[in-house]
Amino acid sequence: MVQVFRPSQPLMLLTFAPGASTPPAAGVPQVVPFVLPTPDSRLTLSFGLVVTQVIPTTMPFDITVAGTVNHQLWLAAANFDTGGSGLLVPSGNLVGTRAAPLLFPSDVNICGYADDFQGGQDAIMGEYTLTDPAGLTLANGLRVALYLSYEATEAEICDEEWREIVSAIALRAPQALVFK
Amino acid sequence: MRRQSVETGQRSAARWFNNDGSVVTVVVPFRFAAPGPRVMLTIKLLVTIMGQRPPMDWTVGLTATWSLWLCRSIFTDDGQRVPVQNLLGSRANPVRLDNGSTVDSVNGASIDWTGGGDGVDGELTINFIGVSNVSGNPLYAFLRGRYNAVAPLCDDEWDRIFAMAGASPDVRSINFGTG
Repeated sequence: MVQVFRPSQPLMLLTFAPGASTPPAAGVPQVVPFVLPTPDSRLTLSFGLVVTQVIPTTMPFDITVAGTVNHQLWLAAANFDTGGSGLLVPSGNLVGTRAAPLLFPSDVNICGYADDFQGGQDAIMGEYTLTDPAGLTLANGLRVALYLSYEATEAEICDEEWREIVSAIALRAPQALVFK
Repeated sequence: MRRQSVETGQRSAARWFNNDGSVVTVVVPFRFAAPGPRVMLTIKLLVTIMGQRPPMDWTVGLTATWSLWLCRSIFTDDGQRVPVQNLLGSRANPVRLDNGSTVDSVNGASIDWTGGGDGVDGELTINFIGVSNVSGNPLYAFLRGRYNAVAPLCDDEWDRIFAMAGASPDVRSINFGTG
């Protein structure tokens, strides 16, 4: 059995429809939280946050528009409080911090952020923040989405166990921001 | 269990036939399929000059420099291939491979990568900054890859990797010079 699990659709975080007439106010961060389950430490989660245009022009394109548009990311390992509230509690920062998320990309030829994560936490929680998108050519629209892949990392996992692990990957669509 | 190691085809990246005196920068884009964290992709660049045994002066008398950029790419659901992480250098500042002298012990590069993503893409940049050419002998640059499992894979999974190797790499090769 091929031990790679990919959601059939990317997780949308934020969308500007082409020609969106109501961009957010300058200086007001647009924050989209999300939670990614990590059911087993034998899996690697390949995380890809991708910024593209709805009507593609060139690839790559400068998603920061010479530094005038801020894309930020915070990721943290998190565990559920199983003894009480059941809430998801961040236990260790992985990328940036909530107060100071990572500003990305540092290269105008990169249109997003990617990394691989492996660990025994219950989930990875995070927030994507977009500030001052007015510099982007929104006539072509904009999409910010998560492309994920879970893959067994070292030894092959037996089929029955793999099915059980994959059944625990319940990805909930984030409350995406849509600007029309 | 079959041996879980496969080489891709070798593709021409650049061919320089005789020197026509041009000062030129050549950028050769290429793409490899990325196999996932249980398979190591080794990207191999080889440079040869006809009639010479390596290692040889691949700067061609300090008239050529060789640089490489690699990045991780993701395929979107609307068909775009998006660079999302630099792996070696950056597109604006690729890593110089030659040592800037006429005496070098390497004529290429061999880079290992294990990780996620859909593709490992990059550009080979060759700057020819002079008019020298070694006795008019053609210079060739080739790219190929090898996929090696780093943990045992079942047959279905190896078949997937094997098919990936058959389609890699995709190289937009360039021929230049006269002849």
